[in-house]
Amino acid sequence: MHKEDSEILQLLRNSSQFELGFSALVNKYKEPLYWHIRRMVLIHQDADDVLQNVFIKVYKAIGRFREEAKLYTWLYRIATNESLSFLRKKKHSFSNIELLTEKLTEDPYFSGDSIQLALKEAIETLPPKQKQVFIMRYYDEIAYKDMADILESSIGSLKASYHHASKKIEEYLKTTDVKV
Amino acid sequence: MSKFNKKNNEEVPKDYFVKFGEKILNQTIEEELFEASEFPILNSIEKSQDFSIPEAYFSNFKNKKPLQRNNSFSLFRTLSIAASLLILVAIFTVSKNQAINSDNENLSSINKLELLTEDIESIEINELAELHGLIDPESSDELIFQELDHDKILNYLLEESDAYDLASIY
Repeated sequence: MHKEDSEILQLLRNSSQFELGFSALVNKYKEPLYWHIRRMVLIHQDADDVLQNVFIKVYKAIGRFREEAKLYTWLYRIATNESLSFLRKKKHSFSNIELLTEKLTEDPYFSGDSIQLALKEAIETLPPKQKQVFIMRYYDEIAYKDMADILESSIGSLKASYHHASKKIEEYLKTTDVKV
Repeated sequence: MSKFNKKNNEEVPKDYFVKFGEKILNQTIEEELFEASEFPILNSIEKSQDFSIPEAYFSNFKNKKPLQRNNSFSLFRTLSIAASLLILVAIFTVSKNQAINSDNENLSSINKLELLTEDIESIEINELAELHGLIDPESSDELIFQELDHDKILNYLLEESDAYDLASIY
């Protein structure tokens, strides 16, 4: 059973219980953040690296966390920025789709069928913001209101991004031979 | 002013607030249905878990990993600072030597003699000779060289003064 955010924050505020609080935070959020990152970077090893960096950043910055924001949106914001920064640094946004297909089919930790692979390819063709919004809405099912906090954007613009992304993905899937 | 009643004169339709939540919910359902009809292929894809992870990945993922990274980062930072300081010291030494060398070029022979004799007692003869390749530090020429008197050495040094690097002594 995970601790409530308020309980975790209380532990983190107390220097003698900081390690306990941080451990509780890691335990509660490691899985949701991992999957959020993994859908962005796709490869397990990369997701593991990014997740560790996220917790290092959280460890260093938790003292500056303003409690008017939700802990969960703050953590997702760090994870989102870290994933985007990782993709930029590694130029890992699979610029050519063949490379992505090759990487995923070789990845022992990807078990998707041809339609799942086609969906991953379609997502990869999106511009970074649309890709981010689509992943958060489609896979993580994050409410637009929370997404607006995480991505520091307006609900209207997020809805528009999601709609454009879905349209592009639909078009891409129509051009592929895969049968649903 | 007190005569004015602060009562709300505007009215809302009957049960407006009661039905508000229901209205929003219906709107959301409509939006979803619209999206489903607009993107039939996308919406027909089952959201199955297509990614997997190594066995016991999450149970082994503890905060020790970030903390270890944190320590190695501190070590890296310490080494970086040490390296930067070393580079700064090297740059400072080189620029100081260059400044002395350029001053050196302007010295007359007399100045050079004064400079050389000023601290002559503190100069290790062997060190000086070794520096100019007069003796091999590994060889046994040391004893022979020590037999030369100071005047002879000074004359020699004056002759060689153009090639002499005073900065390396002082």
